[in-house]
Amino acid sequence: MAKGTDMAFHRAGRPAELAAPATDVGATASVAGAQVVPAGPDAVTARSALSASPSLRLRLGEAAVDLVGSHAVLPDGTVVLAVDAMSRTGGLLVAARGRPGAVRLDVTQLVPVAVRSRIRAKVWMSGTARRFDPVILEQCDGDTVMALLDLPPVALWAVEPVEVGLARDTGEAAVDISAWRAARPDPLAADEAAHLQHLTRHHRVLLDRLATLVDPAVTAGSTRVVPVAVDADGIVFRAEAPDRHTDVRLPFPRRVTRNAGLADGLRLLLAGTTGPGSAGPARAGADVAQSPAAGCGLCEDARDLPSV
Amino acid sequence: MKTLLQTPPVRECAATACSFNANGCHAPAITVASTGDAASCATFVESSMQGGMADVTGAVGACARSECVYNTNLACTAESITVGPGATASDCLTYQPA
Repeated sequence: MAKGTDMAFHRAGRPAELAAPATDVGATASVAGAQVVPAGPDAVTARSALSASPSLRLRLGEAAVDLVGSHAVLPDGTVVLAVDAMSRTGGLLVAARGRPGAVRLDVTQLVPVAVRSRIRAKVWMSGTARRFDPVILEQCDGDTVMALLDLPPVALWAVEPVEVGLARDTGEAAVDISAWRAARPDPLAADEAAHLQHLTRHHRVLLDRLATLVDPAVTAGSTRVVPVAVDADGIVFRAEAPDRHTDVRLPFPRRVTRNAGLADGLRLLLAGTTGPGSAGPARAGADVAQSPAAGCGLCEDARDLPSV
Repeated sequence: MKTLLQTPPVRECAATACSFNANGCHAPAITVASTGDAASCATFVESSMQGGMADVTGAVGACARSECVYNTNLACTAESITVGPGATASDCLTYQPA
């Protein structure tokens, strides 16, 4: 663990991890044949990181190139790269075709808000490159097809995973390939940055109220408490002090399964702690007054949020 | 305005696993990539889908091997080319470095 970073426990006893704990494995696993393969939290984190990242580093032998807006992930965990065959990188991909593990992809998952120690995890995958087989399109859902259509109009290459690894402050772990293939990204991963920025910009009062749910012993002496992660299982606040910081996860009472459910998750989080012994009365001022974003459940009915 | 009637055809292709290969190449235009010391057909794809157009003979659309004696402005000027296994499964066997 990084110096100056503490692992704290929420009053409910959940460890404060930035990565999704994937408590509901069934929601993040798929059926491979007749057998249900458990996804596992590392696989979900790795899939989320690769799916949500706008860029990745492609390594082919000694060569490395950063690809921006040039990858998509298929439901089975195969990564599709858009690389011009006329480029040097395209030539290297052609040369690497069919060689197991000849391609390596690296992604760094960052905290999407301006705080220190922003690196959450580093995900790497080695794989086998092949020219993208258009037959695969028949097995893709609409979202995946749209993601492929958004790629630059150059040659597409499929990278089939051979090994996947995940490195965090707490150590490195290999991700089982079956778990990787079975996993699905966290349902909030793609829009997490937008959610956090929207909450920070338009729902400051709500965040302040949520922050009161963090154990006061953790926030004592902190200069600010900011949300640094949100996923299907909860929201993570960081209590920052000049010389250290502590991340605390506030788990949602119910797992959020889609973006539209985030408002309910936050609402239930507040409601579940309302009552005697809670942090105090609602603060003055309505944080919904500032230009609400279209479709935000909190903007639409934040006045109904329970007081803490 | 000229049309591309004289792009060099793929006279023979031994990459039989390629979806565009059905007793010859039927990709409307292939791309030849620069792969180490070799030139390689980057259009090669293994698929259960039959690719290309049956009544079209494949031709070279673009070639990244700019030092080839037949390469002018990334286009091929050879009369025809042959593709087959070499350094990769689909090398341009007509490639000739200057």
